[in-house]
Amino acid sequence: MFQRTFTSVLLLLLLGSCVRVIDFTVPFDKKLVVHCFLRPAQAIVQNDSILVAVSTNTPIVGGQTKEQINDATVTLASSNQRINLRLLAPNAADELNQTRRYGVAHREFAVKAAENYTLTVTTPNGLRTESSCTIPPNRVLENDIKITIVEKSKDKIRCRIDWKDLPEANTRYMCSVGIGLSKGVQSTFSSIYVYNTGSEATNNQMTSNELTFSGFGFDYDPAQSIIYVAVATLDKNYYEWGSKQILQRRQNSSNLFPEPVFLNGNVENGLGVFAGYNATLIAKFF
Amino acid sequence: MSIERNKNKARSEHKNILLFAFLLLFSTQLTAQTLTGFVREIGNQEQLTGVSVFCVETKKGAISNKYGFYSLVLPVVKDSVTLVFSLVGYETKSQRLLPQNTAALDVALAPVATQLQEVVVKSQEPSVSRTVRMSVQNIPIQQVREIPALLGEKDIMKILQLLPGIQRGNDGNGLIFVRGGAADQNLLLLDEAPVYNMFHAGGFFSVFNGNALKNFEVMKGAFPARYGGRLSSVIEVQTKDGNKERTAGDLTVGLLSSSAVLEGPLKKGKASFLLSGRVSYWDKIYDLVRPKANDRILFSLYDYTAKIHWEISPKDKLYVSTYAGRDSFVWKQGQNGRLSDDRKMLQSAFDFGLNWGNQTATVRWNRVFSKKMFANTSLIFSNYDFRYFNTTTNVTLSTQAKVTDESSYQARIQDLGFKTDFDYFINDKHQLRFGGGYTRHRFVPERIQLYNSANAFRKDTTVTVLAREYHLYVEEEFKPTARFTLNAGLRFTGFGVETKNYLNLEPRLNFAYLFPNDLALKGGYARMNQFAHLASNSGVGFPFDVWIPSTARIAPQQADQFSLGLAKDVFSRNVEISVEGFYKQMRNLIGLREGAAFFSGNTLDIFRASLASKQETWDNKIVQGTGLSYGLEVLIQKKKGKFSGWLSYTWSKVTNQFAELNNGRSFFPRYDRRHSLSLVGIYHLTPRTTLSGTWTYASGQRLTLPVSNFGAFDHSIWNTVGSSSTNAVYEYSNYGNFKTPDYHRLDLNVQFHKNKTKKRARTWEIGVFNAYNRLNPFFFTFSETNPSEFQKVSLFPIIGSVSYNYKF
Repeated sequence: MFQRTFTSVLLLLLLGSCVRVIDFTVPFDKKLVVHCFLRPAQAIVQNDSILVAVSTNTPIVGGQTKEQINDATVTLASSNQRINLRLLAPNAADELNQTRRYGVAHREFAVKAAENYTLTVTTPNGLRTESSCTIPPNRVLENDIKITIVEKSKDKIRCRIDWKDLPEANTRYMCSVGIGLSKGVQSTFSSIYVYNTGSEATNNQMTSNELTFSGFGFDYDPAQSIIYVAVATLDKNYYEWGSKQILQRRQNSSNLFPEPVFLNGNVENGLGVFAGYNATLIAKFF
Repeated sequence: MSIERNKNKARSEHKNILLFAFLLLFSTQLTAQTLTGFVREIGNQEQLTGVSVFCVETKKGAISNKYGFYSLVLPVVKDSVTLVFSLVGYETKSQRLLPQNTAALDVALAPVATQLQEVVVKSQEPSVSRTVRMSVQNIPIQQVREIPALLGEKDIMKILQLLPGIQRGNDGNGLIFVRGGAADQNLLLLDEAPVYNMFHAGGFFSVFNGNALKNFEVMKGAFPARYGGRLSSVIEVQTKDGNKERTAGDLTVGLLSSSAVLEGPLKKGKASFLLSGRVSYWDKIYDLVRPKANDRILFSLYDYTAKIHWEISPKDKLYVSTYAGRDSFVWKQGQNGRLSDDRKMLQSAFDFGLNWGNQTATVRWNRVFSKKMFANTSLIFSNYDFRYFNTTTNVTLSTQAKVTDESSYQARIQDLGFKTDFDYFINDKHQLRFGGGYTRHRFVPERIQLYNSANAFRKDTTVTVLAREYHLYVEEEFKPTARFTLNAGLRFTGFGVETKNYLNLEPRLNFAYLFPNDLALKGGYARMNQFAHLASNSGVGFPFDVWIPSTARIAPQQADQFSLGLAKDVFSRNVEISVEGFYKQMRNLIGLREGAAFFSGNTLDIFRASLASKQETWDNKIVQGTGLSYGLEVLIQKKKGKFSGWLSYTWSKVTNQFAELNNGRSFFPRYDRRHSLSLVGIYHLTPRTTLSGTWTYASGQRLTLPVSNFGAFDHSIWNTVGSSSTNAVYEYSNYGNFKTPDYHRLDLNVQFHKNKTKKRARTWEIGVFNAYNRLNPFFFTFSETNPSEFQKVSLFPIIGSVSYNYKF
């Protein structure tokens, strides 16, 4: 938006400038888009399940819509397990995203730390992707996570999360804070993600710096409101996908002079990511 | 004992060798004498660069240096000798010199503004086959004034783009890319001071007032040892010294800007001054036609040059010169609107602006120590700064609640240094140049000021890096035979920053062998190092230029360039033909990390980015890689006569490779253009009418465009995959995967000259830019109304211009 505004002004300034639609041909290679973020089961999450979202890419010009993949064979395997995931009934988000989800309950397929997993997606019309990931062997323990509420007022919450850096070199982290605010029938949820690596640790301590939530639109009731904190150790695929996706979106939305960001996942012959992580989840009332 | 005897023998042999070399070096001095002097222009006494001084009897010659000084070794003869002084654009002058008058000879040449007759070029004219230098181009300033330009704005940087080996950027920027090098690899020197930003207003105006310039020259390779600091080119621009005989001036009124030059004697024949200034009134014209009452665009640019030249004595000359130029662009938008809650009125104001500017100052002292030794010492200051800012203010009228969001980004480079250069004319076979210099750099790669009243957030951080750059060089031009010339040199460079010191030796070698029939074979090799780099977002035209230093993390850029070529003069040496090939390997090239930006347009975005990763420091945004470029250049040039001009053609290929970009694969950078062709013609139809035209063609540029889009999940640990909406993201396949349509354009011009009196003249100039209305791309974008539609935006359709120039 900012770039468009800027260039519009520039063109106005130049008075005689011209805009012309041109024929633009970029060879289009149709690919499956696969997303799966895999972790060991978490007791805190109800009906915890393994989910894989499948869709396709679309050409950059021409306005084609994505193909809905209802008949894919989605197979998750480890050294000693193998399971085909089932197509789930599409929900509103699936329809909006033109995506189909395939899933299986965690209890049907055990995901363990330090293990390697392979995900294969095939379609009857010959599209096939394969990807693999390893679950990080360790996670930050709940006792090593410190939540500091720096400011808590009716229209703003500032907090900071500190945690102990794991001894493995260059551990990749994601810290996520969610704020679920409620008062009567009014409620809102917002979350912030921060990607770090262990190279940023000071005295073996990691910090998220301060995260600010504001603009709630109503005075929340602390007794009904919850702060959710997750500190996850990530495999390389997750870290690069997450941080680069944020970077590309940031560039596309607000930068005057964007440089391309290659969003390369680890899905062979396709797009998306099959990522492993190992998280500690905390939920507390204010 | 035997060992000691061998040592003594070796010492003795060394002495003999040294003695022999000394005798060889100075043998010609025993039978020769040295003639020195300055060459000037008749009337204004402007010192002339590059004048050929040729002794008819000995067939030996010399070229005046950039201060007009020459030194020529003549044999001791009883009879007189004939010297011929010649320079393109000036009448050739012959001078008989009696034996007793061979001490000093100052000569004045008369300019030939408009030559109507074909000139029979004498054999002693400077010619492309006779000089050892290769990869060097200069265009007479008179031709610069006659070549068509957008809106009549004479721009030497645009003219450089018509020469072989020099690629253009887009319409709308003045960037040049020389022999596969990036835009920051060009050293622009104005009276010895580096100028870091080469253009005004995104390339619409030259950074210099063309009417104040005396000479310019570009070197693309085979650099002599006295030049360094950039990998790809050196562009030397000299301002006029000022008229020492009478007060004179020049006034040009154009559609978007006007300029004036005033020069004259401070002390007749001894000291002179030059003042030149230029100002644009673009925004005033825009104000007349702007469509929205709430928007206001303020754009201004100015530049001025001031110079004093003082001939303290026949041996001492002092030059004091300064240049300053600045651009300022502000877009002010005010808006009244309604929020969804109708009771609240919102008043908002948005200011967005860019400004940037160069300032230079030079004090130079020329000293003729002897007939053989000339020296120039310069004290040099240069500054370039860039600032971007935006401010948004929203006021809710019902509550008077005010939210302000301010952000600004500044960058600066400031140099203070000195250098001394010596020319030692040993004899007619040897010329030695040596010297050294020191520069203190002060880089501010980043100053960020942020304020957001809603979040009570304020940040003001400045990063300053101090660095020191120094060099020593020695360069020898050796002519062992009449047909063979060798220029060999060695340059030592050093750069100290933080705790790191980079020390480098740069060997340089050029040779020329003259075959019969004015055919010469030339070759050259140069190693170059570069310590100041431009981290530039490839954007929409306005510069976003941050000069950064080499640091412990950012290694100096380095290049090895080999050139080989043939040069031939044909048609009585009236036409020069040169063919050159080059091969350039580059290391530690500068690139921006994927997604890196030195600045974003949104305050909170910067704020969040700074929180997201502590690694987003300015030097972490830089990645380094290698580059390879090679190509072939052809130039056919006719500098004199009723019709003059040139044809230039370049075939070249450039590839870059960065471990951290494009998945480590090599790619074509944006400025890789396979073919470039330029035709330039100037025809003096009558003494009062000059016609000129240029046609230029270039293969399309390389852009990096996405190949598809898809939805990416923002994985929430709290929501399962697929329960939230996706974000539209792009799939990129390869850097430089898209080639833009070819660029071509025809410009035409006619000038009507009239001499009002002997000293006063006026010129009306009527030009047509882009005569057949080719819509060349400025940039590409997806349509705002239909995101699946791809658009090409062109800046310049066919544009006519009229300007008036008055000289007195």
